[in-house]
Amino acid sequence: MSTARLSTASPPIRSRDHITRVASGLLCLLAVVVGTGIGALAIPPSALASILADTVGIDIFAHDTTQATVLWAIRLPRVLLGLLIGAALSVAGVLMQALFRNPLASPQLIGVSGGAALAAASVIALLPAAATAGTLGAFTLPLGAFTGAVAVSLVTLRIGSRGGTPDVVTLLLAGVAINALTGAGLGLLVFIADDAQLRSITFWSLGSLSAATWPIVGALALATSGLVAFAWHHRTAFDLLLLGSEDARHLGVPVEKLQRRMVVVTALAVGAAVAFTGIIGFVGLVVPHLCRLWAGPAHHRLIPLSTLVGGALLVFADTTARTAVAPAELPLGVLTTLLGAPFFLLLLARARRFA
Amino acid sequence: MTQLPSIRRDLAIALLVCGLTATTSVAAGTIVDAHNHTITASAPQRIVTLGSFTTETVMALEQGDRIVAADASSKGLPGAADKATLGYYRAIGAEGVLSMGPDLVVGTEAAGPPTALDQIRGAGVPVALLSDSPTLDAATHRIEALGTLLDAEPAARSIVDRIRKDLDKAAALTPATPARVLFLLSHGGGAGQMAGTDTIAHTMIELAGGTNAFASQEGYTPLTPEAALTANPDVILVTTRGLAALGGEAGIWATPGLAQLSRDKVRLVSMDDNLLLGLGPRTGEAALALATHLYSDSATSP
Repeated sequence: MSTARLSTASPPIRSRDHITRVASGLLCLLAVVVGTGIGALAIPPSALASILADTVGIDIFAHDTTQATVLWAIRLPRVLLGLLIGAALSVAGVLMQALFRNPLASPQLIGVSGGAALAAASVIALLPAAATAGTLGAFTLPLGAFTGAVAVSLVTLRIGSRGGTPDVVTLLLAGVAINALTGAGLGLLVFIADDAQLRSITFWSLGSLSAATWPIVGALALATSGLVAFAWHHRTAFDLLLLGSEDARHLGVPVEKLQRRMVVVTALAVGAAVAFTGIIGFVGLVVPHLCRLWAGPAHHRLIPLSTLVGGALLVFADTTARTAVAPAELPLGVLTTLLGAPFFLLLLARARRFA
Repeated sequence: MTQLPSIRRDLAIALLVCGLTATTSVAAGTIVDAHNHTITASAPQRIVTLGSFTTETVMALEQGDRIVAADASSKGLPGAADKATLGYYRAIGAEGVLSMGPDLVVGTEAAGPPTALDQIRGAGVPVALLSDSPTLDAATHRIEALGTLLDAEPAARSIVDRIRKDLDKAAALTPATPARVLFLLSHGGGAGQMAGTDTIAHTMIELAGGTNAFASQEGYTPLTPEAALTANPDVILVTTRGLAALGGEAGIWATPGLAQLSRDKVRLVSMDDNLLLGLGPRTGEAALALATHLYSDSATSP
């Protein structure tokens, strides 16, 4: 494959690949161990071992039931949700950067987050009764946000297509306009909302993993694995897309069909992610960048690396959010942007120096 | 529809409400909260409070030393500054709350998110959510419910009695023509918001024997010059923090709409934020203080 030669790395490709794979796997494992081990409630390793042994019927150390509840019902689902959401946002970023052939692209560009935010705010401000009604009520907000994310993305795709085939420049401009529109709609809802609703809208848009429960982890496991499988299946085609639509088409890539699917798959996966967590900024932009610096632009390396690194980084960020001001919590979306934006500026400064 | 069935319906609703109120105190230490959960607490020693009126009431019941953590809105209360802070009460973390080892969590209906509260309940900690509607009935009911939960019913009764006595005193001050009061809320930025009906400010104005000058609207609405002039207030009421955020007395009288009001007729009254808008155990005291500002001594206005 010609893309292998794009990487100018000095060590032999094989051994470097190997190191990358092992290192990213270890990083992910470390994130899970650290994320499970630390939290507002102290669970010492002995209690952790005892809780785990307890599930298979072995009684070694003492632990209290609160520790077991916190571990099984709160912390573990939250760490796993962090892994899944981080992976989904990062791989979606890879997809968008391949689609737009631009390293500045992120899922936000096609209106996923804007649509989700608009729909979430509509539910909070216009359907306050629906959001609190019984067991179904708890799902009104995520369902609304998901629907909004997918619907707005599909509208963007529709406007950005000519005769059924997506045109990347039009799609980009349509995305900008749609984002402005959802922003205006959000402003209108903020104006209508009362004090309490206003604060709920604000907190939703700051992002958090605190809603993590096992059913949500299950739903996201489905969404993320679908996204990653799609990306992995088309890894070679994404490499060819980077050459330009014309060249990719001549090399046998069904460009239009692929581009359309990339938007739809991103909308579904990122829509599912933001539906439960609110908006978590900068992960989809920075992680693919970081991975490209590390392993080069070839997608057969970029996709697995982004999956693992994205998951690990979000778990680390969420662990910080949970523990920095314990027993209170920092909003996760604020933290990822706070860490991601300066890092991105650093990358920009470096790129200018080399140019 | 004829008159009679409507009255009968109202009567039925009233009876139903009475019935519901009666069932809220079932047995010692047991209440039915705003979400229809039956909560039983047996002499709780480690209490987490979410929402300032909850924190203030627990302290007024002289159980403040049992509070192990409170939400961010309780921070401003005297005596609560040294409690661990759990963040904003609508966005609490389940693990953060459980790490304090509570045996009772009490809060307002708006506390959440629901997932976090379910997780706390799942860990075996009772969570009682009390109505946060901005009415006197809700306020006294909250005090009584907390008294039941904390096994401090006599203290709760004496607080409610004191509120009623203070409210009677406030009512005695009210002249034949009540003052038209415009409440202005500001957290900085912009000209502030005017309180309509269904707000704590509206309830306090009425309890103090005033008329809300902006009762044509529900909830808070951004101040616009024409609406302020149309409201035609005798008194502009602000909180101490609101006064500072609006740029002090000079800032208020320079606000378009308020600048055009006659300074001879309209007075400015400011009161402590937690006292005026707490709607907790000091509700009577606050209403009496406001009534005094409105009708007794025009000299105390800033």
